[in-house]
Amino acid sequence: MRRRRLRLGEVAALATLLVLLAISLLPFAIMLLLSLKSNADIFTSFWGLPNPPRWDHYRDAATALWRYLLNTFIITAVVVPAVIVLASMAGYALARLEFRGRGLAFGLILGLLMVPGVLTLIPAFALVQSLGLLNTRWALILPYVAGGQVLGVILCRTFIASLPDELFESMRLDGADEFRVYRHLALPLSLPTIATVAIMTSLGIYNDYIWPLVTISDAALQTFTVGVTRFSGEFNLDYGPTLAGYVLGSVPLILLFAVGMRSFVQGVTSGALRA
Amino acid sequence: MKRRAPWHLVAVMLLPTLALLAVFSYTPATIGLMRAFTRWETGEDPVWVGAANFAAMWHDEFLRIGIGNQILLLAASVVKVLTMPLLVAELLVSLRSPRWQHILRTAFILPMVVPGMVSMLLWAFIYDGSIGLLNQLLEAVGLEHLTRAWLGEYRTALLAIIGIGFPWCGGLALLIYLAGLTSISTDVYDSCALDGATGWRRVLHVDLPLLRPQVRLVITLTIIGALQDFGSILVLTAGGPGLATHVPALHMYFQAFRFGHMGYAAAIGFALFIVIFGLAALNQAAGRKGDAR
Amino acid sequence: MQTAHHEPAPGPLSDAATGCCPAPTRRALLAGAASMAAAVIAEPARAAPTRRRVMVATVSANYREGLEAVAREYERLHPGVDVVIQIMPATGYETWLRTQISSGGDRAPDLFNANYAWGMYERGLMVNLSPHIQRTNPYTGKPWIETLSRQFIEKFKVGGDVSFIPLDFIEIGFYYNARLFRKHGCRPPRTWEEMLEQAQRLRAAGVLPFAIPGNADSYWSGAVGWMARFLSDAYTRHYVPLVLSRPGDWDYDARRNAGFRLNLADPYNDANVVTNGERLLAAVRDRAIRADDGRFAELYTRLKEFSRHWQRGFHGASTQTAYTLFLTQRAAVLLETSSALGQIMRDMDDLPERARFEWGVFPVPRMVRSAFRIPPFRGVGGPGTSLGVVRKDREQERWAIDFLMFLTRPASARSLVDHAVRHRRPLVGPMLVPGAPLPERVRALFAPFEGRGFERLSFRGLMDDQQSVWEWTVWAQRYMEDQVPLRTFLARYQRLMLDAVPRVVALQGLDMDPRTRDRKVA
Repeated sequence: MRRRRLRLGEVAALATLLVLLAISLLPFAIMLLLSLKSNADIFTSFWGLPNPPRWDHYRDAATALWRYLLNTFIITAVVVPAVIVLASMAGYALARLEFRGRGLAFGLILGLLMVPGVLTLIPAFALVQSLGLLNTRWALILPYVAGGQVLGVILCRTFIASLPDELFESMRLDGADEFRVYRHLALPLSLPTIATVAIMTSLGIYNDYIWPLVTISDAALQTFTVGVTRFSGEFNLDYGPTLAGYVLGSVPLILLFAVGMRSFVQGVTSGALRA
Repeated sequence: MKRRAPWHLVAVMLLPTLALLAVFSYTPATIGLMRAFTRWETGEDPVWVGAANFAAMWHDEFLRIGIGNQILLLAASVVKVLTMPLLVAELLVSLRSPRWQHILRTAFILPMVVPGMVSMLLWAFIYDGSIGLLNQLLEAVGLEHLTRAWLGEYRTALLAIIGIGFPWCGGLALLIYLAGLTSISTDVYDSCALDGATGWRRVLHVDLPLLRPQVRLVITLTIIGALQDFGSILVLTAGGPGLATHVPALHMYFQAFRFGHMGYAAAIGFALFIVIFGLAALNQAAGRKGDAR
Repeated sequence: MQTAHHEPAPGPLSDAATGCCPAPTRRALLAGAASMAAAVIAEPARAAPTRRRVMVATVSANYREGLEAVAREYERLHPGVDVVIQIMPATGYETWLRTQISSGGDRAPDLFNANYAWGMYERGLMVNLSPHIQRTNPYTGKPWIETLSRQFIEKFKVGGDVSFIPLDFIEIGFYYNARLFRKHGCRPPRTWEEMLEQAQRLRAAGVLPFAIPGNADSYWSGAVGWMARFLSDAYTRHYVPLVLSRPGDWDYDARRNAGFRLNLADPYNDANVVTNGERLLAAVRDRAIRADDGRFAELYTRLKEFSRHWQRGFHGASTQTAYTLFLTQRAAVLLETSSALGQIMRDMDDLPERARFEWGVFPVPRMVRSAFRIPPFRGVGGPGTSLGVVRKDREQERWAIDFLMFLTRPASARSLVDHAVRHRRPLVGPMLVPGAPLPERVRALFAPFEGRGFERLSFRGLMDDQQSVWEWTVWAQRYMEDQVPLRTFLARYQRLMLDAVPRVVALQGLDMDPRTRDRKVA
């Protein structure tokens, strides 16, 4: 009797979850559906299947969007490795090296978690402007590297500090210098953390709207997130290609998550975030 | 035992990081704090004006209306993250089958994988007054009289902004709650079961108190996010119609990047920083006090 | 400060009070450019040294086939010349152009879309076409200017010089559903009042009369902004003499201004006069032009009266929303630019038989009932495809201009339109080649957009001062939504105009003395 009631509860839970899930995912399903339909098809049968499916919308959308996607890709490809290298080195130094001012250095980095973007947006813009970097890729790359490190350093430090001391001591006893210890011990062991940092940094770059909006005025250098708000204007009044563009723009992130979902979830849910 | 490390090593490993942060994080933050007290128009040099910008904020009726909207949005955001993701997390852990648990968890996170701007633009389409998805749904179930341009009317625009992301299940909050729930040891649950505390009773009396740190974190993140995010409003309504969806951060953006009043915008940014910091600290303190009890 | 997503305004302050039209133009052209964006033609093989090459780099994908046809025809006349048509994606066009032109050499185009790269003439990178338009066009046997639009060329002069030749222009009009009109006994209205009466009739029959996009963008560069502009152009035309350059002013031109008499009956009456920006600002500052007088009160009363016939929640509507309402026959009339012509034709063809409908275009009808004398409304449009000549050596410039002359003869214009229609390309708007023998259908569709003249003084905010435009948008939207009464709105409008004056003065570095030229060089 008790077993059955429990199972009933579980079925109810499952049903509730599936309903909520359906509502959550409906917009995305409709996006896929409508992206293959012509205006006329959408106007006359909104819920119907595409008849015929207009795959050319994807070609049109790709033509209009590829440059924006490429720009985002270039930025990400420069920023993420830089963040990883800098954050893991700094994290190692803060976790494993003894030096004066270590606490202060870590405090300075930790304190940046308290500084919100609204405070720095305007002066950062003025800074980039005075450095003559407006409307160049550097206007995105340098602040992204700097900003991406904060969480990166904290995660790396926390993780490397949590590794057992004996590992490091034995390697040092074998005569390895600190840099070798970092390269051949700390770095390989922190790969899951590094993956988390890489994914979160990529996600941040991909989703950032305001910074590229204000620093990049040249459409040829613009990133996907800003570009996608404008490219629909290029199709004037066609829904299909616009929605196809949304789908295309989602592919890179979906691929990224397909590869790194596990470490992302771990990174988010690990206590490190609460540091 | 750690030895004192040679300086050059520390420098090589740490200085690039600190240098970048000094230039691109600390400098702007410091400048931001100082320039809030200047009259500083685009292309001109800042002039110290004391608290004049803050006095101007006091008399800025656009900003005042924006603050009203912001309070509503923030309150709604907090309610949203404290209910639906928690419900989903509880339901997920109540599933016996780890396979289902895993599949559903992944599915609920899926919307996070869609670029934020794409989601926003999709919501613009959902609320569209001509063939928007919401109106199509209402028509399909015979509720034509409810259809409207959701973002276009004074009375519904702010509600529509709050409705974005419905049913607000997924996201970071869900992951954090899940992590919290799975870390509650099975011993606790076993003793609950012995005490007869199951189902909602257990959720209320065991899970929630134990999830206190997660709740605190989620609220902090929500405060930080809700007060700063104006990108979606900029794209969806630009604060309109009229000032129906205007918020302080958007006001700051307009002042700086459309009107060129950098000093005034820096002051708004400063004020937002104080408010965010204050609310987050309050939340942490309240949470700690609760923990101690 | 202009933000990234606002188009820079063309034309100097003294020539146009608000003058900002490239936004719809660009959107329209992009529609075609996007589909062609991939088709960046590969660099052609290097021509033999004896051959002359004229390169046209344009974003006007709608004329792709037409330009190619005209180019081939030209090459047949001049066997030693190759004409290369390069259709560029609008994304990055300006950057590409700047690098090509500043690096010099024969890789740079000879002719390009000047309305996509403002400011090139001021930098001395383009040929002054003023002397050339007086010459005889060898392909027509008449002075070149006679097959060009004098109106437009005047309107977009830079410091008195002609920097580009517009081939077509973009203008707004009311697209109407002829089936719904017939069914409910309506016709293209002759007066504003008739338009509203008919709207009332449609509404009584349960038909939504007008689909109007009314979001913030629309107040700046879309439907509501256009309405504010053509309405204020009519309601404030009597201010033109007040802001005219006078003898002694730096920009005074006796040939254009001496003997000017305002004639409300003639829409082109003030087209060629020079107005002075400092006089306009001074008039606003001294409250000679004010937003809280009876004229503005009537203007905004009638705009709001009109808005009762728009769809509910129009403040949330984008151009796409409004277009969809019209095409799904939920609204009888749509306010759009001429560039929607091609899209409507195409979508109508795609629709199944039962969903298709007859449609037409009528121009904005004039107001007859008013406390004031309201002249007929004028256009708020701008240039579409506009070609300028890049400065190179004399001989190269000569060939570029020669091809431009060939391109602007009536038969070439016909060829451009024919090819565009045949290849289902969007049409931007009416051709600016007088006497071009266009197909009957196209001519009929273009007609309602033409012959109205163009705005001179218009107000939505003050000039293009972004803060005043935003504040005006906020208050106007609140007024339209019944959040504030007319009186409050107008008082705010007046105040925001006054507030804007010193900002504009500072931004443009003016000394408010009309005798001196003191604009900051951009």
